[in-house]
Amino acid sequence: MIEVKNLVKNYGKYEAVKNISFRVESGEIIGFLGPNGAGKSTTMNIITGYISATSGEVSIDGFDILKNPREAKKRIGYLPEIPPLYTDMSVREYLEFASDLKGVKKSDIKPMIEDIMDKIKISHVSNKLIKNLSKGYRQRVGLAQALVGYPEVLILDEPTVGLDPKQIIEIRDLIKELGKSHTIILSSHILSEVSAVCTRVIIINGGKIVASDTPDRLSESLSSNSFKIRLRGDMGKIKESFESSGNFSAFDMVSSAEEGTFDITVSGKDGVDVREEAFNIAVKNGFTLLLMRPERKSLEDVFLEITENPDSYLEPEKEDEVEVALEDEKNNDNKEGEK
Amino acid sequence: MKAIYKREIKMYFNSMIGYVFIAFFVLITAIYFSIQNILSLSPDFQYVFSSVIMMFLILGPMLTMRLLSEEKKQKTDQLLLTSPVSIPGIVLGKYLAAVTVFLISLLITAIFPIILSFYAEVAAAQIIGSYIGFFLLGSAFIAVGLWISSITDNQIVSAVATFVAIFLLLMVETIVSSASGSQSFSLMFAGILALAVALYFYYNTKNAEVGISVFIVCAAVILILYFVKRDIFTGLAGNFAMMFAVLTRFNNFAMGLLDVSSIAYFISFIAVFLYFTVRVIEKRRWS
Repeated sequence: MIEVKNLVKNYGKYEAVKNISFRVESGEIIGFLGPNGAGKSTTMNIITGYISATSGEVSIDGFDILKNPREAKKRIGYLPEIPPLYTDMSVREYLEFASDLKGVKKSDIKPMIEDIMDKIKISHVSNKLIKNLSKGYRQRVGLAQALVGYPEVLILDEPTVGLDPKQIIEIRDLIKELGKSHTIILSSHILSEVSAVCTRVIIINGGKIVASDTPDRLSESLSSNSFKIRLRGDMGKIKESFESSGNFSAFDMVSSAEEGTFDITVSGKDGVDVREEAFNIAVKNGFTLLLMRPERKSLEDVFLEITENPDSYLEPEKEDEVEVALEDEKNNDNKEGEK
Repeated sequence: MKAIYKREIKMYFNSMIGYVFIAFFVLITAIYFSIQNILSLSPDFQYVFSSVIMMFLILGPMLTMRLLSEEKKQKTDQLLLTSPVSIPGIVLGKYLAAVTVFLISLLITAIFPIILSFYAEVAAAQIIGSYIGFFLLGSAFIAVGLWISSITDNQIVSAVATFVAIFLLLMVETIVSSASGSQSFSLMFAGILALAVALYFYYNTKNAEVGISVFIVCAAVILILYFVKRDIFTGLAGNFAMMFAVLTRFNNFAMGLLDVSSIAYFISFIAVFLYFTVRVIEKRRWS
């Protein structure tokens, strides 16, 4: 459906995009994730034909964006980072203009615009001038513009920026709904958004793809073998018995919400499964085991980890001791944050 | 192209620009008409145009200053360039919209010679010729203005630059007649040309060494030519500048001559600047 091959974009000496390749199949919702300046918008601008790549190819549905721009662009609806709105037009006028521009048949324009405004919930502002709309509504009008002509591919650059929480949920639901009939690429640096909406996540950092997988698998593949255990027992005794066993690489203890119980986070050395060990210690010392569950990393952790040191995901064997120590420190920090 | 044309026309008449332009144009023409025809009891309407031409200094920028610069500033060019419309289509749509507004005001002023024709014998050929010439001249200025507005994203810069460009175009004959003969003037002109070429290279390669060496080579060639074959510098600058002498072309029309070469001149003048505009937009995508 969308094929991106060896995309490179240089701005003078600065390389914004360094050799990015990926494929998006029909019906997928892809999340572009990355810190600011990672090359998300640049990549999107190249895919939509707004700027040209230094080298590399982009084809939409088999149509090359450079060799056959008209056919390729017909299939794309694009919502850029800043919605391209003519503020001196009313919402309806603007959408009519967009329809004209995209070559929608005259007889289809009116019903199509009504339908889109209904979907995006902007019918009640249809006669207002865009300059009088709030940021949230402008964002929606921009999204409506992307839908004009019902293109097969939607490319949305940070679609929920500037919206209030209720609107964000609405737009997300809308994107999910649209995902049933469109192929979507959206970019975001809000991770919960990507994990809630997308079927696949592509993490970009420094102009390169550093990871690409489903949100679930992505967090799974990086989840360490650490466990959270909740025990009832004497605090000192628990601490001592766990620390005396040499099999745990990390140990952290906090008192839990339940009275008289403690939450322990442990992980095994060198990826060894330590669940049985922990269970045996509990039994031996007469602690009551109330809970044991794997500590899964959230997408947030994955993101931070990958963008800060990309090698850890692609080539885990390269991880050296220093990195492991750093990671542990980070995990601890996170936990303290949660507390 | 049609969608863009329609939007621009709407834009001119939703904002005040279209009305102000037409009102201003008709008012000034009416003032000259009153002075030169009615108060002087003369039926020679074609001279009114020669007086009105100076108005382009203000009217030209007014019509073109925001055409492309505003799109760039508001990022709405992202919509245009990612839609299935070609860049020449975008440029042509905008250009034709501006020309249409100009044409409307021109047609309104046709009422003055018609009034004249009731009371006096008017020189129909000269007047019709003037209208055609004036239309072509204005269209050429609009093409220049459109090109300038594609270069900058600042409306004020665009307006001022267009003002200067139109001023220079109107002054070409005056400047040439006073200075063209001198060889040193041509030398200076060649130097400026070399500097422009060097700047062009620097701008495209972003490499100061390339720019400087290009300039040194050009300057050396010019100096050698100047000392070896001084003759070619006679009238060089003048001949070059006369390529832009739009007013001379216009005067042919005002004399009632429907000169094919002048029509071709204006059409190619317009085509060249529209082409430049397309190139500027295309180039921005690649940079």
